Parts: sequence; C-alpha cells; structure tokens
Amino acid sequence: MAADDAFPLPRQQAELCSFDGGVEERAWLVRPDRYRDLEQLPDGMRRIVRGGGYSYAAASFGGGALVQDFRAFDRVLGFDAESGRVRCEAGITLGKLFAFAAARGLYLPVQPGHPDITVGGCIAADVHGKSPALDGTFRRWVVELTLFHPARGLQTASAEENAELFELTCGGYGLTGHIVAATLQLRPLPIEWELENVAALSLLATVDLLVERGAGAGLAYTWNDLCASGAAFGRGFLHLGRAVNGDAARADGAPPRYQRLPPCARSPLRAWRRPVTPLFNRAYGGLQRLGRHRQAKPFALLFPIASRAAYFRLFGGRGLHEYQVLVPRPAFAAFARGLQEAVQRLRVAPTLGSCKLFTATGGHLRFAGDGICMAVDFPRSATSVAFAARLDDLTAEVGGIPNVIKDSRLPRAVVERCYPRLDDFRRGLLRLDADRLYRSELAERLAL
Amino acid sequence: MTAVVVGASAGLGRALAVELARSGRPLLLVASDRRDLDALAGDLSLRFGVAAKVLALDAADADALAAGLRAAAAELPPVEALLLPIGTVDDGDTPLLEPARARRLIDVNFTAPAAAVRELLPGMLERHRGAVVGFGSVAAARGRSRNAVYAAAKRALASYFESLRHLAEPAGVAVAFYVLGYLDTRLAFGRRLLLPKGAPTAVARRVVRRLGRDRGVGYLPRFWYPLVLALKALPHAVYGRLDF
Repeated sequence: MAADDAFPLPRQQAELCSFDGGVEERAWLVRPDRYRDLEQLPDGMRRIVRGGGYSYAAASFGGGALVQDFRAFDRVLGFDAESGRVRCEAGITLGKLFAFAAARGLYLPVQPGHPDITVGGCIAADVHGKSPALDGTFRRWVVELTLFHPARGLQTASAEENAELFELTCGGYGLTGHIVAATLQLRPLPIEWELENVAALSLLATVDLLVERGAGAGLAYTWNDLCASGAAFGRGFLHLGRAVNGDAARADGAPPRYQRLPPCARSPLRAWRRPVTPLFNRAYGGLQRLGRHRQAKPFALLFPIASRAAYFRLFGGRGLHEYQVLVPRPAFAAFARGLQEAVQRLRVAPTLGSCKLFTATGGHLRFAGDGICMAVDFPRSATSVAFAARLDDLTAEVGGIPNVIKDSRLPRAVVERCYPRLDDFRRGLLRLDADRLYRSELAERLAL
Repeated sequence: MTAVVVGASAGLGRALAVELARSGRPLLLVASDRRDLDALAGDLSLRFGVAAKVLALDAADADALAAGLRAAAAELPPVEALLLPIGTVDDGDTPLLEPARARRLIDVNFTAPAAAVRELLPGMLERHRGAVVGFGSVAAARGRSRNAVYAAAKRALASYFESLRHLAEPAGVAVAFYVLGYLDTRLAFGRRLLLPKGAPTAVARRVVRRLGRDRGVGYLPRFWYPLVLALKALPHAVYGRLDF
C-alpha cells in the first residue's frame, strides 16, 4: 500500500477494455475530484478523459495515455426554465440528467441507449439517438461547451464562438482537449410514446416501409432478423413511435432501477451461436407480432438497453462486433445484397440488425449524413473478422461511412477511404495542439 | 435549520452535503477551492431547491476559518448541524516529519474543527438544540510508522470530542464522533488494501439519517469496531512486526 510519492494525484493501474471486447490495455488511471486536479498533471504527459467507458471502440484509453476518470464531475451547474437549457459538468450521466430534466417536464432528445453513458462521451463521439432523421446528432443539442487544455486553459466553444474548436470537438473523440462542461438544449417531455409494429417480409421491404412511413414519424427504426435466409433475409418490423404530449409536468424524475452494463461484452458464457441465435430471433419476431400496439414510458423508450443489458453478457470470452454504417438511400439495395451474400457465405449468425433514417450534417470524422443507418451485431469469432472486413469493402463500394465509435477494429485504411475529410480533421487537431497531448488507442490506430 | 459542512468539496464531505441537501436543509459549504464549491452549491440548490452558501478558504488558517464562519452564519438561519469531515494527510508523514508539515497536519485535522466548534457551538448551546459531528480514523487506533502526525491529530480530536460531549450533551446538543475505516475516496484510491472500502454515499446517508440521534463514538463501516478492538489488544511483540 505504498503511496505514490512522485505523482501529484493518487493513481492506479487498470486493465481497460473496449466495450465490444476487442481491445484490452493496461493503463494508469486517475480519478480527479476537484478542479485543481485537472491542472496538476505533469507537463507534456499524454492523457485522455474517460466517462462511463462504454464506447465500443477504445476511445477512452490506450496509446500510452494517462486515463482521467471524469465521473466525479457530474453536477448540474445551471438551468433556465424559460429557454429549457441546462448547464452541467461533462461527467454527468444521461440517467442523472434525465432525472433532473424529467422532474421539470423536459428531456434531451438525443440519447444513446443506456443511462450510465456520460454527456462528455456523447459530445466526443457525436452520438445519435432513436430519431436521427428528426433530431440530428448530439451536436445539435449542444448550445455551448467548455474545454480545458493545459496549453490553452479553459475555453468556451459554440457554433458562434470558437466555431472551429466546436466543430472539431463535437465528434472529435476527446482529442481536442478535456470537455469539462456543456450547456444543452432540452425540450418538453412527452407523457409517453405510442408504439406501433408493422411487419415486413424482408430487409428491403422493412427499409421501404421505413422510408415511406418513417420520415414523418417522431420515432422510426426497424428490427431485422438477419439469420433468416433466402427471400426472408432481414424480415422484421418497423417500429413507429408517436409522442403523446401533455402538460402534466412530472415530478417522478427518479429513474427506475435498471440493469447495469458489464465493463465490456466479454463473458464466461456464450449463448449467441447457432442454433440459439436464429431461434431467438424467430421467437423475438413472434413476440413482436403479438403486441402490435403498445405504450412506452419515457425512461424505457429512451434507454432501451437499461432493460436489456443481459444481451451483452452472452457473447462469450471474445465479445462482439457492432458494425454500424450509414448508406446513401439509393445504394441501400446494393448494400443489402452484399450483406446477405456475406452472411451466408461466411455463415455468420448476426444477433441484431436494425435500421434508422438519418439526416444530420456530417464532416470530419462524425458519423452523420443523409441516408439509411444500419447496425449489425455479431459475436467475435474466428470468422468474424473476415465478415467485418467484407462489410468494410461493401461500405466503401456503396459510398457509405462506418461508425468509428462502434468498432474497435476498424482499420485506418477503411476510414481513409470512406471519410474524405479525415485529413482536415488531422490538420485541425494539429493546429489546436502540435504536441497532440490527448491520445487514445483509437487515435493511434487511425493515425489522428 | 442550517447545516455547515467543513471540508465539503470532495469525498465524504461532498457526499454529506448531498444527503443534507436531500433532506432539505439550507447549507453552508466550506472548502479551499471556490470552483468546487460553486459547482456543488449550484448542483444542490438546483436539484434539491435548498439555499447553499459557500465559503472558500484554507482551513489551516484557524482565524480565517473562524472569521469566515462568523460572517456567513450571521446571514443564515440558525446553525443546527455542524459536520467536520475535514482532513488531510502527508505522504512523508513519519515520526520524523519536519515541523512545518507536521503543523499543517495538526492545523487541518485538529485545530480547524476545534475552531469551527468554538465559533458555532455557543449558538446551539443557547438554543438547546443542534448536533456536532466529527470524524476520526482507524489509522489512529494504534500508532505506526506511517501517518504518525495525522494519527496523533485524529487521536487528539477524539479526545476533544469526548470533552465536547461532556460539555454539550447536558445542554441538549448531540455530539457524535465517527471513526472511519477505508472509504472509496482519494485517500484510498490506488492503494492495495486488505479490507474493502466503504462507499462515501452509504456512510453519508447513515450519518445524516442519525443526525442529532447518534451520540458518542461510532465506527463506520461498522465491521471496523471489532477489528480496532483486536488491533488495540495486540501485545507490542506482535504489533511491532506488522507492516501495514
């Protein structure tokens, strides 16, 4: 229990793992809990900030960086009821923010699926929620952010002030500096959502339905059974949701009990394999058919993973891949054909297929643009890397972009091929910080 | 009404401030860095709707602490709870610690809480109500080569609280002194410990729930009580060989 005399903060070594289980590294970890802690790291020391640690890719550790766990900085700093804006520290979790906002009849429209994810991570990965065609990505709801960099001190950035810094930081994977606080725009919270399931017989049919009926809906995404073969490949459902508004501002902001995520999707038990996955998908599809209409309360709708975290505990010792791709609408049929061919040829049993409409301003390394966003989950195995590599090629062939934050494996060459503004991003980072103090495995892998 | 927390910005102090705010008490939060205090006070007043004032100063300066408390208390509803989770350690703390550093340990761990009590207890005695809560450490159960001055200051504080109870309890003011085991705060972060770390939130909940009702000495987490008894009972022939 010897104290670490030389280092200004208590630190410990930790094995950190990307959420998908693909990258594991040993890193030095500090847990600052006062503002002066942020200023006390040794000069020139490589560093990266970590929130919940639930990025599929290794974005919050690696590359020889000291990891700063920022979760003690989770306070609400300001709130203006009239404008519906909240200012909070970036280590605040979405669950805590939801509790605060819901008690005032408000919510943040863009929410990735689990309440333990932090706001800082949402900004750094410019995440999207359930309705990217309507609500864009997280960046749209960031009014202003505060960034710390030892060479530049505290800076404020927004679309108006320090606009370049703002652009580089939203979707900048934490490489521009330390996101300390942000002001976020909230909007009135519906009482509940009315959900409808519409069945379709193939992947293309569900996506046609999505395009036809999803554009006007508040919420629209598909669930696809990618284990179904032949003409039935990707059969599934379109889930449509309509917000039911009302002026009953609730005080029941306290989030219900929910399932925690494991630190990463590696587990002793592997259930997701043939024939379990195809059977499960079939049963899940059958269940959807039973309940065509239902209502969902806000917490359950915004944080679906909060009741399904067990899904991530069944991928076995190597974890999973999530491949998420944004495909231009006219090219989706070609993508679907290629996907089916690869699934069958490589005998992959995907555990999840899901599509959404997407409309959001892209740029740099942001996963944003116009088209169909599709996510495919599959267990990490001997053949899975070949399958993922096939999806890389397919994505590039159809002019799509892969989601950098969802894939700890994504090779640099693929990102260079698919993101035409990658070099702008690299140059922007260097302009901000020639020494490139903020590093991660993701940054090393993509040569950022 | 008002609860005062000296050493409020992090660790147990911050957890106590959150629980006190949750219970609806107006707060006076004292710590060394205004940035931490402003963030905490903003959070507590927004989330729980309580008034939260802050006092940023270096508590090693007992005169400044006393003057600051006097001025702040004059503007607040009567102080009914004084919680003193303030403390500091020094990595070089052995029986040979140089005097200036030893003095700082004594000033922060002993003199500061005593100065805060001197400032705020008279009002409680006059009104015949209130609670004073101090915090010791299992590290002071028995002297060892590490944390020598820290343990001495905490042991002095334990004696001071015994006296305080003798003075204040007859006048209707509850005096409690909790001996703390390892908590999951920066003091224990990165240390390989034989025993589990208590959660500051759980300790804070318990202290606030029992505020004004717990009196005398208690151990938190509670499993430390028998361990401390056993440690004290060890003959030096055995204790002297332990390296911990």
